[in-house]
Amino acid sequence: MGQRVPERAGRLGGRVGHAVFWVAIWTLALAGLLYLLLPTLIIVLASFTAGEYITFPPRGLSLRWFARLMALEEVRTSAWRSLIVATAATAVAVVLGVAAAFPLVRSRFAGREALNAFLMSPLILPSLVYGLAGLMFVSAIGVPLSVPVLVLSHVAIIVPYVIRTTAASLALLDPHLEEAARSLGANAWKTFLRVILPNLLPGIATGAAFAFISSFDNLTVSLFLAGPRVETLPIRLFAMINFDLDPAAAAISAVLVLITFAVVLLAHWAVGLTRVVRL
Amino acid sequence: MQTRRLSRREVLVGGTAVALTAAAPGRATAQAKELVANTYGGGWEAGHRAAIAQPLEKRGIKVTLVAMLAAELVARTKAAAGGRPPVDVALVDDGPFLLAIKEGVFQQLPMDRIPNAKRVYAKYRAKEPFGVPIGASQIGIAYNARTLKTRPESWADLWKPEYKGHIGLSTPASTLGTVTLLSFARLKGGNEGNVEPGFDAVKSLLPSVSSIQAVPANLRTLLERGEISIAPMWHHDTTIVKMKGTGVEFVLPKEGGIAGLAWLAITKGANTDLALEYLNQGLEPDSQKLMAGAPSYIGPVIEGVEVAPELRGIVPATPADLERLKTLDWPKINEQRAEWIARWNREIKV
Amino acid sequence: MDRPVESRDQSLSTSAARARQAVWSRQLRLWQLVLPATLFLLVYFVVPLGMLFYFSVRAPGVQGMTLLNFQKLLTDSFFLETLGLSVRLSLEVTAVALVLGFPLAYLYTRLGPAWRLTILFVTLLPLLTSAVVRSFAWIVILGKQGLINAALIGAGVVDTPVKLLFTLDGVRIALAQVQLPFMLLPLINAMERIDPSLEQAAVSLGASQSRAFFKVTVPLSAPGVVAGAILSFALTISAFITPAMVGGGSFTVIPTLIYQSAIVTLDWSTAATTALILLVVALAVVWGGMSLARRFRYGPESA
Repeated sequence: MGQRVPERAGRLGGRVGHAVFWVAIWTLALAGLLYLLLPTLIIVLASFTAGEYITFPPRGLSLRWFARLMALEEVRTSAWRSLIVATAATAVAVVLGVAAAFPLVRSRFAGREALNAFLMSPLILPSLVYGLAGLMFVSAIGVPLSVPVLVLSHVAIIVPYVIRTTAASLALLDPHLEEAARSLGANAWKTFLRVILPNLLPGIATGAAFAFISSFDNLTVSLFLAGPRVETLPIRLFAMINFDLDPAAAAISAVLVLITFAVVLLAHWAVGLTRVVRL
Repeated sequence: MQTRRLSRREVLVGGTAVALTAAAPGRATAQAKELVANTYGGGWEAGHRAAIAQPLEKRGIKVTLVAMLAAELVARTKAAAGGRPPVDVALVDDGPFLLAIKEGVFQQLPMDRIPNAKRVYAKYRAKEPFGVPIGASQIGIAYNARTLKTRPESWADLWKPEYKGHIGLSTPASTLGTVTLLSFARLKGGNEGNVEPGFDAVKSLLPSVSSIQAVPANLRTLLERGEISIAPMWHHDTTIVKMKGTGVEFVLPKEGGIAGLAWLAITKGANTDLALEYLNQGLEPDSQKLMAGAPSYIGPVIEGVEVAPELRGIVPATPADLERLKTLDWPKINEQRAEWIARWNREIKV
Repeated sequence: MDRPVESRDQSLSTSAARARQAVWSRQLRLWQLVLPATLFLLVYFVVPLGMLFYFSVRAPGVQGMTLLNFQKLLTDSFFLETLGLSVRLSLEVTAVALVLGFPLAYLYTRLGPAWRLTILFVTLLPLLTSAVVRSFAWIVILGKQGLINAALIGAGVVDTPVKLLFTLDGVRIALAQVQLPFMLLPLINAMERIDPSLEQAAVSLGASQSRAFFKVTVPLSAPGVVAGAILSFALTISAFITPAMVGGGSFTVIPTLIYQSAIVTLDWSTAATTALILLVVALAVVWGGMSLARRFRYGPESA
């Protein structure tokens, strides 16, 4: 490297430097880890408070705010609506995304890279800009805001997840398996159903799970495109927190975190988190 | 062949998905007895739910309450012009109410189909039949008597050194903020036509101000948690905080607090029959009494509603209470409000 | 069924031709599979963005296309101030995320599977959690009775609680945590691709651990740093929820302006123009970052 290698003086300084280096690295890393973890943990724990408003540590433990959630009509309605929207959007996204993954992995054609980038672009475009654009588009063509409109706008921003995980799974699929099936007489459709699909399912499931949670959690796009008549859970939560720091909001948050937790577990069980990171 | 099959399948699955969403309970149908109304969240929502939505639901009308401030509501309604309005029943303050009427956002009301409208105090009734008052409020000064020993008696007292670092203010984006700005203007000799002294006053107060919020509810949160200890505030927000045992008190400054009415109106294109029931229910004596108590503490607008003794003086029970207060020239304010908001954003920084 | 029998017979002349034909028709069929998604995005993604463009070049009272909106905004001092604030905030947040994320990514590559899983879990959970929930958590933590102040007072750093909630400082702290996962994932990706033996080689040649780190690992991880920084910056500058909730309206950033002009004042010309300016700024940074990354791909500058 062209450095003069420090000799004896370096050795002792080296050991101290070594320790300092690792202490610094570990301190920053642990700080980062705590920084990542604590807020989520705190809001979940705070939701179990028995008191009138949110503090951390919570004043006494109780499930009263979760019970209150059940009683709040608006919360139940918006949660159900979010569920419908997320399920429908995920279903459409899976159909579109799984299909799109095949040519992206298996075919060679001019512009494949560009097409891939295009299909992934909703991931990097600010959802704020997309929400605004969507609202302008929808009002220009004279369509009133409704659940289907919201579903379709969510599809646009979640389909990249499905494409990505399906493509990754597909790329890892041994083409010999298909050849073997074909040579044994299976037609294209049967091969797809019996050989390809089962091996793709973990990837598709992971993509679908990420797509679902992204839709369920989404606030920014929904703020523009849902409208007061189509209130989703994040919108209701946003309003609750902005108008009143209600512990019921913490209970809703805890439930949302639980769902997210389940999604991450699913992803790990399906493809392993280390694979997810490489997407 | 593989492609064609998949395409059909795609259409099937995709179509089912979209059909499912169309059948979802979220889609509001014109035929079903459903109504959407906005409230200001927090105490307002709880009060309206208990006093209006629940009685209506017992009669088979489903009411959905959304939290939305008046300005956004009027804007969204205007945007939806021609189509379905975002809400059927609108809750708006004095200023946005007059603005919305001018812009043709609300329907003219058939007063004979709102029997309870007769009960409204004569002084509160609208000049043109575009809405009914639903609650009376006043703006004064909220302060924490435990942390601040001196009770503020006037708007001018805010400049006292004892309050330095404890003050919270609202921007003209809200009625509260607009009223605050004008109160300061009047203090220094200005008025709705000359708000310059108001801006000067705010700037001179800035060193003492701890927080400026666009949403009044945030001021309430800060006050409740002790992040600020004194602020111009609506009486109902103050009462909510006071009733939590925080030691917060409400004071009407000697120059006079500001009176305000909240109005219910019906948007064009709304489900008028159901909406009229909402308005009528809101003016029922039982409903008014409910809203005057916890957790909304909104002053009643019809005759004969008793306000609990410990709340008298804070909750304006009759027009007589409000007579001592000032009212504002809202049409004039409406003309300049956007400009004031823009100017505040540019010049006022804490 | 989709091909007449005659042409099929003709192409059966040689097995090679048959194989070619099969590949071709397969390509064709596969091609069609990507059409639905592409068409969908074209309609529901590209066209709306076109609307954005449309509204930004039209001004009330002016015929045809005009740059009036851009001119109006770009000469408005409040707008420029807000834009400056947004850019500065995003840079600061990205820097913090980088400082905390880099050591974590580095350790990731040097620790065992249990640690790796933990790190990944702790990274993915907030990443997938709703921004509303995460901002709410920060509202709780930043209050005068919140955790940070409790820690500061307990440690004797300050006597009275520091005002963090509904301030720019509070938003900085919250946003850095929101962005950290987005910084971390590309970093981990890049770090994993670095051959660990390179650093070991440097150490065996007499370099200290930290020297090896700074001279070998850091430059080699540059693509990941750039990717993470780009992502972090783009997401922060367009973040609406966290500044709205944790900032409480006490200051304005570009996304706030967009929301206000779109929904509250219904000034769609301004909203669209602001959104486009935001896009341009974000894309400029992305492009700049990618050019930087390309330079790094051809080896670090230092020997």
